[in-house]
Amino acid sequence: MLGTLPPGLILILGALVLMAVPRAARGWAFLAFPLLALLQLAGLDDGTRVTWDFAIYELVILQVDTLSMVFGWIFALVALVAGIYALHIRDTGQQVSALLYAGSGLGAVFAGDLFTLVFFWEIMAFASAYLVWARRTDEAYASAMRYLFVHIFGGALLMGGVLWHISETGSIAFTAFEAGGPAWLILGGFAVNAAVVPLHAWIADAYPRGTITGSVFLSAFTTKTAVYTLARGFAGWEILIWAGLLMALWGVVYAILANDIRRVLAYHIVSQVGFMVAGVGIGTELAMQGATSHAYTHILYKGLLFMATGAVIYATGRSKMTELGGLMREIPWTFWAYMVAALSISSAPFFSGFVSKPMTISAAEYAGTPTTVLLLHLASVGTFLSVGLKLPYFTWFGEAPKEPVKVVSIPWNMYAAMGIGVFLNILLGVWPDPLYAILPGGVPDFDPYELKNLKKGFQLLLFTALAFFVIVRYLKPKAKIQLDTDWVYRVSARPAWNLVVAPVERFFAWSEKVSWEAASVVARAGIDPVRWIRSVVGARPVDVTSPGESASTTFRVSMTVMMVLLLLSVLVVMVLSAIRL
Amino acid sequence: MQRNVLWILFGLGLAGSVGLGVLAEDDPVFIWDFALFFAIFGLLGCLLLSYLAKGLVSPVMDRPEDFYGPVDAQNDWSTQSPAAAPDEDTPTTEEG
Repeated sequence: MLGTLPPGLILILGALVLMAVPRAARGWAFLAFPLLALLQLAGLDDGTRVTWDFAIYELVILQVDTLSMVFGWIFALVALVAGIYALHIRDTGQQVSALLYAGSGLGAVFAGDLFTLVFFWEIMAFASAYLVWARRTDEAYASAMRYLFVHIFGGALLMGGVLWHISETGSIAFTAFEAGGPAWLILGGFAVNAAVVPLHAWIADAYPRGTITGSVFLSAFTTKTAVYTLARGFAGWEILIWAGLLMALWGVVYAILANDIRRVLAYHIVSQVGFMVAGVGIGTELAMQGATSHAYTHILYKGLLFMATGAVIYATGRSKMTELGGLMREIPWTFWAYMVAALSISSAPFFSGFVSKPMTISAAEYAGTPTTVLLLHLASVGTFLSVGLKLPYFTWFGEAPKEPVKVVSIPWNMYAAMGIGVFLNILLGVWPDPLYAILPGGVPDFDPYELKNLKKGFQLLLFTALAFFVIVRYLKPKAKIQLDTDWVYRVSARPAWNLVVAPVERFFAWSEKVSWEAASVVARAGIDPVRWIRSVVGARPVDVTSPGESASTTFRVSMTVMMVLLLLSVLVVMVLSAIRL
Repeated sequence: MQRNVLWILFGLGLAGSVGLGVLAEDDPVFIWDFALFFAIFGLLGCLLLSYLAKGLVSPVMDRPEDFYGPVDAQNDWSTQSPAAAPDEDTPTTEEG
């Protein structure tokens, strides 16, 4: 029906169409475009290529292979589910930017050349920032500005690397990179979006501050697009193993301390993407399949986590564990939906994470890196501790807050979207075959339901829970924030401003003042030059004012004659010099 | 009553997972291939990470919520949640 129109463009064109749709129908119209994209994906064959001649380059705006298809499927699917979750909102800006964001994410994973990739990469940054701005508070505005600056910095690294790469190789094709200056710059650009420590702080800063529906979209696209680009360009780079391990552990430690429920989840994006980055770093076929399938399941369970916590915020108007508690009687269904996602992220048997995360760890076992294996298991423990135990305990159980919570009912569509999320996470957990069938390299040589994998899964989680119940008081949340690497640019912003921007601003302010003063002097002098000259030299004012005649008009005739004579003399001088030339 | 049932189920789960560990004992390849490794690892890992976060990171990195200024600590959900919107019957200050 749509030929080989790239699925990302369907959503981007959809964003344009959406602006013209009447307000009441816009939420429903939104759903049409991810559905169309899903249909379009079903019709795309492996190896399909669409090129477009642009200047001296042949851009590849659509290149289909198994790796991009995995991401394509899940991106279109999550856009649909998140669209259902956001069905009740009446905010054109948010709906349009969400579609634009999803579309540019899809565009990026099907980009066959580096220019197309950079193009969609940049749209993604701006469209996603709007989903934070749309909350319309000063806090969210400032946070989205920081988010945008970080992503513009990442985009600049990427663009610099791409141009350098092209000047060296002459090729714009997006394939695996050779080590060297350009590749490191490009890696830096990808690392910003993948939230690689220490470039990760934007995620914990912006995602908790986005709108309720916006953060569901945010949790899906930016970091996973980066995982895709790392898998395509940097598979087997050993540094990524260490980067991934650092992310996996950094994320869980900060998540244990965070008080805002969506900040806990944001830190867990860092941690979970760490598993994927480590998988890409290991680079074997099983590791790549682990990373890819984990990105797929991660989008499903992380979307559900953000949906369930978003529902809590909608119902209560609060987002901090210290201000929540005892909600089980009020909103039990959000708890059960949340727990399905929490068990999935903790890779509990029969939930989606169980079919993907142990695959990455198993790949690390086969690659002969025991440190990696143990540290990834430790990160798994931390994941269950904070997402599976601490957050739900202090939100739905625990002590009720001092100030009683007012609970409003949650729109039906939010429940419907969470229901779909619950269904998909359990379905994939018990029946991973459809996911395994579309992985690059064919069906993986891995069976999650082997007895020893079940043993690991159950033992790790149950004994983590045992330890949690023993020390639950020790883990009580505090109304504090924790410094992270964003401290560097947030605290240095003021001194840097004073050092670099302020002097320039002061100079401009001074010159503006001086020029206005000069202009006002000239203007005052011009009204009555003679009177002005006399006032400057201190002479006695001429008293020539007769009735009906003001001082300023006294010398009007003589002044006019003088000015005409002056202009004529200038003209004469000009004519004379022109003749001489 | 219900609470006790949950604790008993939890205890059975713990015992079951240990039993599973014994069952799954096959030829050990890696250092962690023994029956109780992941039970001990889960227990100690949880304590270790909790101490790392609460005992080591928190004392150094904790700051008051308005550390970056009052705007940063705003946390106003009135644009997102009807529960946080100001009550209609509460008189609001008129402008001007």
